[in-house]
Amino acid sequence: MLDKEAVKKLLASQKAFNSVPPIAAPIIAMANRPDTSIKKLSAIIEKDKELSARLLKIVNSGFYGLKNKVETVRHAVVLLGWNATKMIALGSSVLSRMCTTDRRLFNHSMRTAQIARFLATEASFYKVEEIAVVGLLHDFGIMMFELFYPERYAKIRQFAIDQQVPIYIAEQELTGVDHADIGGWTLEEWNLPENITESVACHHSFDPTTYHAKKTAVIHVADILALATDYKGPSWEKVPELSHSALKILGFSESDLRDILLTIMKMKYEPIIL
Amino acid sequence: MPLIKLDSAQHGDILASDLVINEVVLFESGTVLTSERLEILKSLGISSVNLEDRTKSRYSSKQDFLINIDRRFSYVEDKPFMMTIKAWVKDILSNLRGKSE
Repeated sequence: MLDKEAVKKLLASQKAFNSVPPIAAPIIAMANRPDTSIKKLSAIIEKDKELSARLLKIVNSGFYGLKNKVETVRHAVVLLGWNATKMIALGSSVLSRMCTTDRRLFNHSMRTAQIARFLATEASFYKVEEIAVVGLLHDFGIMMFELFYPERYAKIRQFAIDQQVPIYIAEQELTGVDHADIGGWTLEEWNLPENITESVACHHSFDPTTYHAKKTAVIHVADILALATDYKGPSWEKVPELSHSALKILGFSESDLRDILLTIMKMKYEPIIL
Repeated sequence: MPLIKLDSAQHGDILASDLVINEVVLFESGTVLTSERLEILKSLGISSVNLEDRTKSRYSSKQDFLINIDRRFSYVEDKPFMMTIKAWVKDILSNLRGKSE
């Protein structure tokens, strides 16, 4: 069995350090300085050509639906905001790895981001770009799981296939934690605010009484709708139960859901390569 | 996915069909290939394997998709609201892809 302390120790280790780009350290340090500005953050990112290219690809990808192409890092940073930029900067190496080694998970993450952005707009959130990036990283814990425990994760996947259960149930059965926990702990390690860590950590255990339940509800609903509408996905990947209270907290009725499904099934999804 | 060379298979890939050697099923369809299993296959001289595609779907027709939706919702079969969602997804898909397909 795994626990938070053991995983946190790994997250602070060299192995985890290698999974984030060298630029991570100055970006994390910047967050704690009073003189931090968008201009300074942009300047740091611009020094890393690979990261700059990934950031622009994500911002210009279909799920943002922007009318005009974003050409500069500074414009992208202004559009995304501080936390979303930080998440992309720190998560870019793992996202890029996901894109090449687990394309299906990457496509699911992109699709969840697109749906999260739509739901957040419908529910009148004001930081929809940030929520889209949380959607992009919501299954980050799966990649960390695979990175830290590759043999154990193969057994987890086998268990999910044999028992016909969602992957997070298999993770909980075999290790006592799930990828949502590990994703949340990773974001905690990166000093991201609690509303973001909670929405990743609790996307499979939605609780309407928590302080940041509304944001978590967006990720929970977006994740399940992405799975539910992925009719081309593998049959062993199981759709988990959608929480009624998550829909309710976002102000959606059950009958609204049919219209939402129609809209998202009509949405174009253009895959990108990071 | 077509047969691919064993050298190209990766830890975590999933068999798309039973792997049979001398009429004995060694690994069933749906088996996750661990590095240990890949080593076993190498030692047995297996040169190629039939894997689930990492990027593309193996379903192609509307009928395949509808059956696949049933399978993907199997974990929540006893949840009435989830069955309503499943029926909506199937209905929308049928309409979007045309009745004639």
